Amino acid sequence: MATKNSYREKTVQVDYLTRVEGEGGVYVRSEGGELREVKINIFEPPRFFEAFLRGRFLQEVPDITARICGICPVAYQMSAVHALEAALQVTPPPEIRALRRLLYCGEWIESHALHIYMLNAPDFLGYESAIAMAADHPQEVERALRLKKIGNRMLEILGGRATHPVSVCVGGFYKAPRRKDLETLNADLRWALEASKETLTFVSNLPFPDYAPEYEFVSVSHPNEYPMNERRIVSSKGVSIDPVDFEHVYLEEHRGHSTALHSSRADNGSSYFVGPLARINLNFDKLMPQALEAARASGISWPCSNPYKGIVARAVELIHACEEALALIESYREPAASRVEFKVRAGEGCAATEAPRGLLYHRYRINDRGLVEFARIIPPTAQNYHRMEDDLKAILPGVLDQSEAAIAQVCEKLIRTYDPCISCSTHFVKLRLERG
Amino acid sequence: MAGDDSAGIEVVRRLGELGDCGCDLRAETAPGVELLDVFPLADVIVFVDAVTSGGVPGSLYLTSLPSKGLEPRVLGSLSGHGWGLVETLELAQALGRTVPRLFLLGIEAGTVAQGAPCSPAVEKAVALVVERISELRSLLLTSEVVSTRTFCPSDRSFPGNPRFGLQVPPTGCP
Repeated sequence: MATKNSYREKTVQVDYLTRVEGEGGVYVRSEGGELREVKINIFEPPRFFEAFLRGRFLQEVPDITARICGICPVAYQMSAVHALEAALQVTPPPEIRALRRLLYCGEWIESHALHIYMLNAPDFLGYESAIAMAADHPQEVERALRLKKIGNRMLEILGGRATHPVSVCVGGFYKAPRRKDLETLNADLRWALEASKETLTFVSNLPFPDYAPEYEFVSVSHPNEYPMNERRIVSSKGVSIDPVDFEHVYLEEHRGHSTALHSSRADNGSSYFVGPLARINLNFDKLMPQALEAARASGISWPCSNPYKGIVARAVELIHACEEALALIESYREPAASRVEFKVRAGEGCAATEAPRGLLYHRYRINDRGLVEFARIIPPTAQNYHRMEDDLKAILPGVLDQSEAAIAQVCEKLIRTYDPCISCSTHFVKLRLERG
Repeated sequence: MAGDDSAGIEVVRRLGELGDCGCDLRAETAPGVELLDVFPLADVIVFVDAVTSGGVPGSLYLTSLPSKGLEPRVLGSLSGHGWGLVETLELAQALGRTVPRLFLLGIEAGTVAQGAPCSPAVEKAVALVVERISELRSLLLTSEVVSTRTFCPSDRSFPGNPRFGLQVPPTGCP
């Protein structure tokens, strides 16, 4: 953190945000006690995945895009295969669809457990890190580690390995798991379901700042189930669109201070909010029964517009994921074929699925040889940057008289509630504050 | 993999092809808290990875962990959400977990350009490690490495004699 003070101007700079993935910072400038400028600077180099994909065969896409993130590779695979299947007009059977939801449940469990306990909870309990928190809260940290391990185990069984799974393909899976292998998860998932309820109790009692602006929440929505892989995109401001219209309603733009693109509403340039809080607010009644009951009993008023309570939303989704995973395994019948055969054809398709940290949109155009001619990937963190900056503009005027260290902590705490993955979005955090 | 960055994975792959080399082998591309599950499985764990310390490509470095003598990639912040080996070691200690004796075998990388082949110097270093795995295993099971040992490229004294384990190693390669 660097600071600069003068009569008219004061600067605070947090060079690197910690407990987030990737490299970025925050720049804040004030004059005469008035906040003038807030920028979330992403200085992690662009990763050019969209360019890497051009010229590659369509079945390589889920394996390449999985490499974008070690925490949420399944999300990249899911958005990729659904977009490509839209281009090919392929519809996998219900058994494959259920397996994909089960795989996504595994990723939500490992990612949410990591964020709740290891990245976000220390902010509310006054610890510098989960390592410091572990000395006073070993039971919670051990719970997190076991939950994460169970999520990873699900990815290993369904995806072949926990990091960057290899079994997902356009049309289904290269290999469908045996029912007996999935049943080995049941005892752990039953423990995880109860541990998730304990997690919700733990996070519901954290001390939350009093801040609840009017957001536009955006998420995938399905008429009959909690959103993961399909179908429409809806918002709390009345948007209800097919994914093919996403880029008409929400616009990605370059900002000079950032190597990540920032998303806004195309019509009025306003920010919007994706992630677990958006999903629950827009799909509350689609939660699994025990998750729904626990959410209602949590003491949180839903819909909830306090971004800090995103940690509660994640805990509710942790319950949901464990509950749904148990149900999916119970009803699993090994498919006759692990994937749908299809004829390669030229086409264009897009899809939006729900990564642990929010809506993830992919669009591909392929030629008649199945080679990618165009790829667009809009990750959840890039969609939230604009909203994070707006939150900081609303919150910082109330803390500008505090120490630079305190201001930096306010910035980091707010940004971490979004569970940003800068590496995914670079195409992201460091605080620099100038005030006078 | 990016050129010499594949050195660690390549050592594991070749040892795997040898059959039983007397060690359990794992290829970890993103070391994080998952390593806590690995710690109870062995008395000694050796992390083999490409390092960039400004030394001569193909040099080998052997040190116990944690170590302030090297800043290898495996100790850096390139792991998921900031959870690397250092953080995992600190967490294990905070939770009272048992941590085995840990070592790093670093292989100085030359080129780490995307898609580049392994450089001849690193190729020789990988071959030397594979050839001397039995001696390395014996050394680490019976000796402490109290400071970083540096072996210049093609230095066939690698991994050194157990009775010299307490000696400060020579520095600088021709």
